[in-house]
Amino acid sequence: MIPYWKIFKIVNMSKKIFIQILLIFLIKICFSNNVRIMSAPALINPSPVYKTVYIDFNMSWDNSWRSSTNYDAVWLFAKYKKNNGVWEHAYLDTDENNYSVTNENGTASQFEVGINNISGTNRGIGVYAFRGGNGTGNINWENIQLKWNYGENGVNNTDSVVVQIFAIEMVYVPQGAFWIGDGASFSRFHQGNNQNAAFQISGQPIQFGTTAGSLWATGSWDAPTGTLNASYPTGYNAFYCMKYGITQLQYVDFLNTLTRIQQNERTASDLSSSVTNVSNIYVMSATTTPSYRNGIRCNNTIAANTPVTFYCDLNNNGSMNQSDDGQYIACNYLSWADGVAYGAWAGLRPITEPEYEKACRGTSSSIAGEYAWGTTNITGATSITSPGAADEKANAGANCVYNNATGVQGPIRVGAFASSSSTREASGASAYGIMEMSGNLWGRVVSLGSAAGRTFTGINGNGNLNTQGNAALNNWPGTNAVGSGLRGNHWKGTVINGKISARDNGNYESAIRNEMFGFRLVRTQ
Amino acid sequence: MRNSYAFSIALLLSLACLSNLMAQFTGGNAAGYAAATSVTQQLNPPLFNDLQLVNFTQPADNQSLNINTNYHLTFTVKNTGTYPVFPNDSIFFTVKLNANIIIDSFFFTSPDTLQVGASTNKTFPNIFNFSDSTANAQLCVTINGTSFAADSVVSDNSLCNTINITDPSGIDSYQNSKGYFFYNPLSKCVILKDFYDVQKIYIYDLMGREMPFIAIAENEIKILKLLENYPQIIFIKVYSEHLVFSKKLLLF
Repeated sequence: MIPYWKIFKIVNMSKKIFIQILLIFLIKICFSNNVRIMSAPALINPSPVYKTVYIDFNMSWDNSWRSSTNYDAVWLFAKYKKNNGVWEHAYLDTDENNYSVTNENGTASQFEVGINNISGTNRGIGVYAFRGGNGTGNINWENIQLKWNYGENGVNNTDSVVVQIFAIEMVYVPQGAFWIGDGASFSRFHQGNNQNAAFQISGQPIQFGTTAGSLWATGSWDAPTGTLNASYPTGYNAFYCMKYGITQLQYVDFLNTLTRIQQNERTASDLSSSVTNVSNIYVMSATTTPSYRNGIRCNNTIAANTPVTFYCDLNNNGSMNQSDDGQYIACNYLSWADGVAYGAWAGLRPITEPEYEKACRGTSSSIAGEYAWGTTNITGATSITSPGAADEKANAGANCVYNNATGVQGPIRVGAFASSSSTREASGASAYGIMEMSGNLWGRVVSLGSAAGRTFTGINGNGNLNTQGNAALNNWPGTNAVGSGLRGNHWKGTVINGKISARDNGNYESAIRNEMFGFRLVRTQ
Repeated sequence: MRNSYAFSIALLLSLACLSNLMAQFTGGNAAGYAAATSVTQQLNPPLFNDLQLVNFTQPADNQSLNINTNYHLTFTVKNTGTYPVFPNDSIFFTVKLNANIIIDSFFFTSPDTLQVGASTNKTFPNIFNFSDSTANAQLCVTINGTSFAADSVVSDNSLCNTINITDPSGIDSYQNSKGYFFYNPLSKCVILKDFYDVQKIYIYDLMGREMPFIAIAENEIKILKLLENYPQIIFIKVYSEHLVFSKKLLLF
């Protein structure tokens, strides 16, 4: 793609043309991506007869798009808490016609409800909000109304509640055939015994074997036989993928909705119920100061038994959630159990190995050694500007964090490489616009290279955790991470593992927390 | 000059296309995530205008009534709340026989401001016409649900009188007028009983729009499965051989 400045140079433009183009630039410079909820949610139009109420709020996000190929969306879900109670997942209405935007400010809205069947009854776990037609630009929707069927949650008409709305930017990955394996990367998938031939996933049953038309891999592979479990999400069917990995603010907000027992399970420091003095206040790394750019902490003194309040404090000055406290940095130190707990709580699910490759490559043919942005060019970040802030960036020209650069030493802010005029390669984006799929933090996947991983059936999270704070969904790899794997490389790793088809750790089952592990989740509509 | 403008337009279009293509790869101060918390809020606010039924005068307790005859219904409603009931506040009433068979549902629109502590005696002519010969029936008037005014919630409140319904002509000669229907909130079905020779059934909303339904039983007892998004109040119209029944029905 030709950069704008080259177009300037090439063309001998009239003054009028130049001014017109300059206007386009100025408009583009205003672009960013951050989703914002612009007003505190309010509960309006309650129906004591049907036990429903509408959750009303304003939301904006920038640089949205919808094309004939795909679109971005915001996954919205709600939690509520009765007086002095615990946070529970709100069951939303299952009919998309019960969602609306009063003032769309020029961009038509559309909704799609994420439905789970829970104990034989369909429940709305969350809802995707996205453009109603093709186009690009900023979105500013006022008075979005989500219908909450509070009666389905066992909430009474006279109860008082507080409600939280959560918004996660997602990208729609459409249904379609695609290729896995690139004929070059370590432990890659390939077709039969031809290690140079990519394998096409086309919606047909996947047969394992070394004959032509069968799926095999050069490593991280337990040599399965027969046919893949038909419910395993192969990536052929459409799914929504988080545009970015879980951020530190995102994980903080999650922790702050949990019980004390659950919080203790989802952090590394000892926060058991009787503890009142905490020395390792940076709770994900269990350290006294921020470790490898993770700034999630609690106070030194906490109350016994009651939930702890967590916050971001990357600058380690004791003041919570300041503008340079790293809220938007990708969250490391997430174990497999931490990541899937977040997913279950948010109504999402882990991504599978082939879904990872599709989310990166799209439906294009494989290129040997390509990264998530579709080329073999890679420029590692060597320094960070505005560290911890919302506009944190790497040095100019970088499109990836890897190779343990001295000036980085940890994950970078999500979306840090995207600018107002960046190309796919410059922003480090996948074919569908998903960011940081190569580098920054290891992506955790459900492995196709282990028997345990292949039992996965793609059940979506239902918004709930067990008492201990763990995900409890059938056929998900459990807290011991058996059935999981690693894809996409991390800030410390070498260049090799960042390639789309590199799967040296495709069935590496690690249950620990460390500074290289992050998490990104998906949902099957 | 013309070429210059043509080129200008072509260039702008090209840039616009580039802009569209690149949209998914651009960004800025991306968070990718946001959350917000409401204040603590009561789902259904306090009862500003708490209306109570304080007297159910007609038909009086132990009164004998004839089937297929029109009677007036008289009761007294009192504003026991802390705010007046304003004109055009519409309060919903239901009249039931034996606690579960809805005879009629209707709105009472306050003709004038009803002050706190004040009572209004309401009379509704021709409000019921028994089509059931059940003796020693319980006839109940209930205020329930939410009025049209957002801050005028009324509490559930019922008054019942025991009445004796007599049928001097016998059941057979009134077969066409015996029918009644009621709503089963569990199955979300309307059940029609004892209608004779039903030819057509319609359901309308308050605006007179026809509402769809599915007839899932077509024998003596007819069951109408209501579809999603039904309003709280519907009208059911049943055409039988000689009569047309039209009743309001409150869906719980």
